[in-house]
Amino acid sequence: MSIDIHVYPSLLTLVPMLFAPLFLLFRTKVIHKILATLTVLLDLLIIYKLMLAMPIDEYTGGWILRGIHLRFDNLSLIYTLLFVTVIGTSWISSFKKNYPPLFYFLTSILLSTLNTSAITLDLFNIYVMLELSSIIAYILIAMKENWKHLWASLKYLMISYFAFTMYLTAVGLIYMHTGTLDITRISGEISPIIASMLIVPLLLKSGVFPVSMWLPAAHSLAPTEVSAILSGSFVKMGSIVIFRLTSTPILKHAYIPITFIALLSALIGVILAYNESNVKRILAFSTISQMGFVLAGGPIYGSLHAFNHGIFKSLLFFTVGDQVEETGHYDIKALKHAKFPMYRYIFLLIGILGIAGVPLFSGFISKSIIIHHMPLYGKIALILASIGTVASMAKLASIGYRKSILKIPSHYLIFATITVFVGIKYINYALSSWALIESFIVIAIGLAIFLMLHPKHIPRILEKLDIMVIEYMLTLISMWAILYIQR
Amino acid sequence: MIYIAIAVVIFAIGGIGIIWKDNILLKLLSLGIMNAGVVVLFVSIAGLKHRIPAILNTNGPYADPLPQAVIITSIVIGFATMSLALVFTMLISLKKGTLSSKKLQEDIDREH
Repeated sequence: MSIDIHVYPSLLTLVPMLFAPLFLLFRTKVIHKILATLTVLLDLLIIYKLMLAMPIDEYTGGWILRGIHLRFDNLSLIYTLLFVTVIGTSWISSFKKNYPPLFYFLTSILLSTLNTSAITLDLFNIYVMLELSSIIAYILIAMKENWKHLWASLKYLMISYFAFTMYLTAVGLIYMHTGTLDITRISGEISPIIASMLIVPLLLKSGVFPVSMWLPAAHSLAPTEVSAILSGSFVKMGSIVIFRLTSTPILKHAYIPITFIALLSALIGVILAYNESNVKRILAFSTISQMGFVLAGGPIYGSLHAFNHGIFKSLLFFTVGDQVEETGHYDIKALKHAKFPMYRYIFLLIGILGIAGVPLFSGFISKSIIIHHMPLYGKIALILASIGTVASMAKLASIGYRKSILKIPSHYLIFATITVFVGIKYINYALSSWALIESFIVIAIGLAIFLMLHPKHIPRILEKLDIMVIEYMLTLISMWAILYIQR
Repeated sequence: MIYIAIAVVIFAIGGIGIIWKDNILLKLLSLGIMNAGVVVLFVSIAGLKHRIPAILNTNGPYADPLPQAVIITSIVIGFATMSLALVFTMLISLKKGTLSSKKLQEDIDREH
């Protein structure tokens, strides 16, 4: 039996948005489980149906060329799959703990906004989605109502509100010059200052080094599931919009400064991660570094790495976060006394092998493809960053394990399966003797660095709010300068 | 054009306030001022080019309706963000007893 249903891209926005209030209406856990399952299944069904008819263009309300322009293509497919996987799996994990109905309500709306960002081509619609998802993130980070969480969230709120005000200004100016908000139909020339005001807020959203120092505090203090959602799906939102913008002819030249910032971020991220002693902050800094890989990779290869990174970083945040919640220690020395239970350590290792780019795991494929397609300076920077990744992840692995009863939590299993499955199924795309040798050399040097070099404490000057604003302005000015020289 | 200059000045005042002031409430106030600058900018953009009205077929200068629709949305978003920020500030002052961003940052660096 086959039912012929017409699906539209806008359903990806509507379905989670409509399910969200139901989580608040019915407050029993059983109904929450049913609703969550329905949301995920419907979302997957819509993605599947849309995939069969790719690429689909839609103008909301049927106002051709006037309504909001939505498009479902390859890029949207990868990102929407990632979003629904990460949020769905976080729901599975959250049912084992005591989360208020508000959590499900917010994450459901978050899923809707993330999906929309993956399909929309309208600059103002992107602004609304950026703001809406950020507001949800502020609440999710501060859900514990501890002053530390509140301050981490408030810092993020101020810097991102500051940035998005600029984004909105840029959108206004673009409308003034071109008379349209549709990315595909903007023509003529965008002046360098407007282009940088448009792109730098998106870099802040995608968690890249000079502008995203809000990320370590926010991602490390948030509860486990929220950390996974933030690092796995939320920071990917900026990158897809950047890919959309830079694939248009008018902003194509902006890709060069973005690559520079991305390479810088990949390098600085691992240096900060290696010298950190708080385990969740190690993971947060490694997100900064990996987002550098994603943005350097460009729309085709970068989106693959965004997917893979979303999966194994969520796995890492789940294993480490569960351990931190169980023992109450953040510090790596204290955790070395407690040690991981064996089953959790195995899943941690799978995540680490994924992120370190070991062959047969998903990180190997996307990382080696990205490195292969970079010019020489990019290759050097990214290989150095991979070495740093191995070294900082070896720190996590060095915590060690103790014997325990064997459990296989389903949320770990989903992520681990995807990491291994992608790694084995698509290995042909990356497999060459050069890539294999490179990955083994990277791992060997990374381990050597871990054994020889002792981490130093780096003061957290860059995470002060006023310094963050200055960092933001400096990035904006340097972006503007590069774009101006290029013209 | 003068409105655009005014908008930029207001925006800059807000931006400087965020860097300069230590108190969280004053920082939030500066953010509000910045947002007001953007509102002025959008209103002036709407009046710059006289476009044809969207629905009625009449002549004469009309302001462009789209920037206004855009700015209404952004005012609402700004209101939501600002109220959330004020709630956070209130909770911080209740739990920590200080609103100085410098002191909060020092304490969080020591304890986390």
